[in-house]
Amino acid sequence: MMQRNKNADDRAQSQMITHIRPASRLMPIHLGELWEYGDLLLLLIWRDLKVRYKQTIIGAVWAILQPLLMMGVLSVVIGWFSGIKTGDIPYPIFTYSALVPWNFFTNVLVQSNYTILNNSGLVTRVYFPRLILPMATAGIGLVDLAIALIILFLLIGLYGITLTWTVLLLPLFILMALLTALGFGLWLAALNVEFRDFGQIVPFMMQVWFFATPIAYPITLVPEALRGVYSLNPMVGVVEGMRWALLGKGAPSIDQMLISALIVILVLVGGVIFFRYKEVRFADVI
Amino acid sequence: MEDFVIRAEGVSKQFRIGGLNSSNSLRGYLENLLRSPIRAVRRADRVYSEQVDKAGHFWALHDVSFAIRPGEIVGLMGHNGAGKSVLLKILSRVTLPTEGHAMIRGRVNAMLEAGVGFHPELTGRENILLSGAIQRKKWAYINRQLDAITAFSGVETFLDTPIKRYSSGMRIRLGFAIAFHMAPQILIIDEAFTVEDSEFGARCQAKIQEMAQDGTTILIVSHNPEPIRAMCSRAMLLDHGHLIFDGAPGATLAEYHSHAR
Repeated sequence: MMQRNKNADDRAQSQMITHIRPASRLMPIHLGELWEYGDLLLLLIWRDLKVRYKQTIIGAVWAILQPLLMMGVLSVVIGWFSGIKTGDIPYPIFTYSALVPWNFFTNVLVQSNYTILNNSGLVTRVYFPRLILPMATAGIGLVDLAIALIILFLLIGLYGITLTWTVLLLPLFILMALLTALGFGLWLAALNVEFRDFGQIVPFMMQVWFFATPIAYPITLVPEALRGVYSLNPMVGVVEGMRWALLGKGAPSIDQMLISALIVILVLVGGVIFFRYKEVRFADVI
Repeated sequence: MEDFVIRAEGVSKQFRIGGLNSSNSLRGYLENLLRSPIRAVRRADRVYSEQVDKAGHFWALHDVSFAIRPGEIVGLMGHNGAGKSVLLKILSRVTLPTEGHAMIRGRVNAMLEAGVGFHPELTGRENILLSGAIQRKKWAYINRQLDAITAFSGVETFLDTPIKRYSSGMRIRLGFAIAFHMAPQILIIDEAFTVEDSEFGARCQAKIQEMAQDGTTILIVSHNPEPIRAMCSRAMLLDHGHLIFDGAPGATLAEYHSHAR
């Protein structure tokens, strides 16, 4: 019955020898294999989205409500009470355009802590490239990001802001947000298996990080002398870039973008290496 | 080098006991660093004296070597803690050996537990799809197998019911049915015949023998001697991490009973 379909496939694979050896310090990354597990990646994203809003009344509306409520709070407290000026961009849209990538980043980082633990049944019972798990966490974040972006475009229309050519750069900055979140997420996913402390530290760390990123205030409030250090936070580049792409104002400096991009690459490459190094012990330690 | 599908050469697996549980937080890790020599050895003496060295290293597998040829049905036996599950985990690449080398020719599908990856909120159909993807199968392939899987497991009427409403027996049957329909070249099954339902157990045995005739190599762990005697062409016996016997099922079973502890 199934024999006919699998024969050709099998003949190729039956020649293939898998070698099982003790772990080395630097584990190779098999991109082809990751690609073969693409279906699993998509199904894991779908599974978690489907299960997430089980037993909630308003379901997926939560994905929209959270950033909107945050926007409301910030608009009142920061935009109105403190009187921070954001040029000719209305404060709500100023802050919401940054909250979209920020919420994505925060959610992915917090969830990454638990991505291996929540799937411990799989990790201790079946082989698959473990990198799929933090990737799925980032993928779920991307779905939320897409929903939040739709709302953002509606708001932009509502405020009568016209998009400029810079909106074409939006995918680039989304990619940058994705790689930043994935990079940090890989570190946290690997660390929290062994040291559950990270699951406790991260939510607090995100609160501090929020104020170290120009979300509620414009970057011009940061003293010139501190800008260099400030830009070491790669989310500065992501948020500034995203805002510029959407609102067409406040082009970020090239230096600052390059610093951010460099840090993102370092964190990501380091994260992949570290994750692969720790991964071999997940099933033993979890 | 003759024809093999699984070949293990000096495979050993070491665990650190004492360290594992308490190193789950930074504090535990730091504490262990200070106290580990004393504590690890003290615990070690208490539990597994022969398999633990002075530094608190526990050898779950020790220098295990064997080769399995295509189409063999090999039973793996041993008392609790003999290292059976660890060996299966190494061969299915869930964990890596500490020493030694194993080679596997072809695609392995391992079922270390019936229904691995099932999510209680998802329906039977959705879980079949997910399980297939976990076993590196494409969507289209699983859809083609869907009828065969449901027929084998006998869950037809519950296909669109969330798994959390299934009885444990149904869940196990569905897990086995999926494992049997992933077109494995090498099938590894842990605790194969803990199935309560004897009619279903017989159906599984028949299916395994049919698959072996089609060229699938099968490695099974069972606590129950009967299926080993009935199906296997060969059986291996592990004892405290050592492979102590490898031969005809009858002889291995006799050896197994003489090693009761």
